[in-house]
Amino acid sequence: MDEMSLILSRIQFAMSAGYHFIFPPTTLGLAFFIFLAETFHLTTKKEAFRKLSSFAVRILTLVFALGVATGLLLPFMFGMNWAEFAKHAGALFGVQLAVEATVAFTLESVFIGVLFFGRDRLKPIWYWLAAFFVFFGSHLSGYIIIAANSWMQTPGGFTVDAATGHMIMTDFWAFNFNASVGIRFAHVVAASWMVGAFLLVACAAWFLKHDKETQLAKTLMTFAGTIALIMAVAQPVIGHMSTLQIEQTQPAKGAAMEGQYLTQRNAPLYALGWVDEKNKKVDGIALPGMLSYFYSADFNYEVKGLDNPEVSKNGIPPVNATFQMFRLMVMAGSICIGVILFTLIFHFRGTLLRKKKSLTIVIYTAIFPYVAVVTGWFTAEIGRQPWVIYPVASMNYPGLSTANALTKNLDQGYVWFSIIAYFAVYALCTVVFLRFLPVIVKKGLDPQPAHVENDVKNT
Amino acid sequence: MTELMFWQSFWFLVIGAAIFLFLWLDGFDLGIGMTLPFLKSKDQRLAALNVIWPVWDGNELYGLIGGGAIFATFPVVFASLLSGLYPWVVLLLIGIMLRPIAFEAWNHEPKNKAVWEWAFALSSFLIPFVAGVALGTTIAGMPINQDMMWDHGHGFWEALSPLSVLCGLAVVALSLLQGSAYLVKKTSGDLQTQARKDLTPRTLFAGISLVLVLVFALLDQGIFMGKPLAVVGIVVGLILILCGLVGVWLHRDEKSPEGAAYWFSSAIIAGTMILVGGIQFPTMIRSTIDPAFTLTIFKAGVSNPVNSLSFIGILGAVALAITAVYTVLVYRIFKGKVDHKSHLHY
Repeated sequence: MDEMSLILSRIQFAMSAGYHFIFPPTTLGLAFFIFLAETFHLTTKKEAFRKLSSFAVRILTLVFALGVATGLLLPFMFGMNWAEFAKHAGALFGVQLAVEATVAFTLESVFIGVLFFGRDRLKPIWYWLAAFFVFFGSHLSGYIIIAANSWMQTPGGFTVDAATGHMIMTDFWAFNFNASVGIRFAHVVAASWMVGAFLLVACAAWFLKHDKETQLAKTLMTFAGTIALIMAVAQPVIGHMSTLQIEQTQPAKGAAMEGQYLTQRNAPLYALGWVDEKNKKVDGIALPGMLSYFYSADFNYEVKGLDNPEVSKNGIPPVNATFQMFRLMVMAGSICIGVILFTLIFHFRGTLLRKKKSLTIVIYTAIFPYVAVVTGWFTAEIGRQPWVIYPVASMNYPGLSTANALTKNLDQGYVWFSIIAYFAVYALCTVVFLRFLPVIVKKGLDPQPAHVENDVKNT
Repeated sequence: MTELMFWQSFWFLVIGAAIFLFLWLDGFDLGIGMTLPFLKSKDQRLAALNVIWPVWDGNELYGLIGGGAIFATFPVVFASLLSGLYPWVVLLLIGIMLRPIAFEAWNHEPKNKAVWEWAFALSSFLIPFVAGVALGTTIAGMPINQDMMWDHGHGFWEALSPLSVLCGLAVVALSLLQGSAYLVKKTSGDLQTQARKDLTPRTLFAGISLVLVLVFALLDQGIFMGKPLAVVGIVVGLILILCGLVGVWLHRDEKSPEGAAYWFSSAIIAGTMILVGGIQFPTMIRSTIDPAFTLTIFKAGVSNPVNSLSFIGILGAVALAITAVYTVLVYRIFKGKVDHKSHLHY
């Protein structure tokens, strides 16, 4: 097997999936906001909610299109670079992706079109229903994809055909309700709502900073800021529950995330640190006993480390990478909590408008939920190495390693070609996103249609 | 015929239907997209984009559904086709990714829209051409070895047989014809007049490329080995194609009903798919190394327990029905004539 093809293919997939994952959480977050705003508009009849919803819809169309553009190539990559995986798991994984495309993705894309052009053509209740379908479709789509990924971490619902070595589906629902999907989906949804809310908070901050449409911007700040605060505070709790789940089903990943080489009671939690993988130790700021406490509310709890054969029986992932990515995610999330807390305090005391420099900070804070989302995925995916599909002892399933998932005899030149081509497209996509997102925002929270403006000028 | 074989044949049909829906629906927006920069005025280009705006991404979805169905029911074919044709698939993916990016950028770009129109045209050409080459390669054959994969040591240019390149051109030609025919149906004024004029050369292009595809296929006797439905497929397909070609030709003038050319052009695509399906069944990918290595639906199909296969079958049928409902809904919402003032702004 060509070592370079494997490394390049892994870089390519990490780059593609990581880049793609900027857009879907934004879609989910905006869809949630739009659905809430439409619901409030329907019940309170306040125009502000309609205006803010339409503002979010304008951003959503751009984000959704770029999400589609970058997401479509991922399933192709399974056939191109990971052909052995495609053959081995296609009977389950392929079904899942086909269901996503037909049931969820179509629903979402059709009704986003309706949201964009249907305001004047539909009665309010039908428009609200379209907003609901976009919300429901995007989250269903998210669930189906997270279920597929979670299934690779905690497989179920299959047997292996002895003759071919390929998987056979035995239970579609066991696939979709596998051991880790519930908590992981909650974690992703909370992250997505954070991403969307912080983006809208940044927009509100921009309008406040430039003294434009301040009344509406304040409403947006209250609305999106509240979602942002609730989700930013709830996320550590959900994330914590996810780590408890990881400790059960993927102990090696859990130990790597915390840098635990030794099995011990009163296990320390490293706030920051550097893992010395050669000497199997961590240098850094340790909070004694806190990890034991986090896992079971008991300082005497014995945390199993990588030295424990129960933990390391399925191999050990790159410890330092997993450790650092996890810390980056937590730090990014913490910054979000701090900034939104102070922003809302100033906002509700009515002094936010005067703090122009602080508003600049609020605008740029929108980047941190994205940092948390991407580093969180890197934690999850590096932490499950060396496996693409994790072994299951109870099912006698030996797992599929990343190296064995690679297309046999994959030409290195092919992968160079594709990695450069994809990179070029992503660069173009980034240019388009960064150039036109501000264009859409700066048109205003409630822009007047062109012909109305002309009428005003003429009179 | 066992129940397993029934489901494998069923999925062959579903994948064929998805490819047909892709060529039929996405065909017109690809055809319109390809020649977008060649339209004379701003208003014409705007009207053309307004025609495809609400539906093009939904249309493209059928191609992905076809791909997804292959992944789900013939994973071996999915793996060997995509890894074997790797560099070609990269070109296809560039097209697929570039299209929505170009469209969004076009929409928001204040002045220099021409760049994005060319990008949209390029992507609209890459998709049908590479998809056609890939389809042609499964017919003409790939160096599939005993491991059911593209044999190491055979270069990527081996995908380019005369037949596969002709298939690529034929899909481009069909898309172009479908594009003109749909513009006749959906627009009025000078754009419609231009589209009517385009019908003649594009019918000719489609007809010639389809005849060449058939001739080059017939030259290679190996293609027809073990193909029980080949004769039926060719006869029925050719009848439909001929009716379609003649129908478009007869309805190219202004006195004909505006939708006629579109429906006859659609018949050509239906005929082409029947012809291809007849020539292919039950093969998915022909092996040029040894006929014994050829991937048939029985060899490459998922050997699921039948209860699971029928479950997926029902799931797939329901899912396709839902998708069809959405598609019909969108076409109904946006039915009627379209011009440069309809949705988007220059």
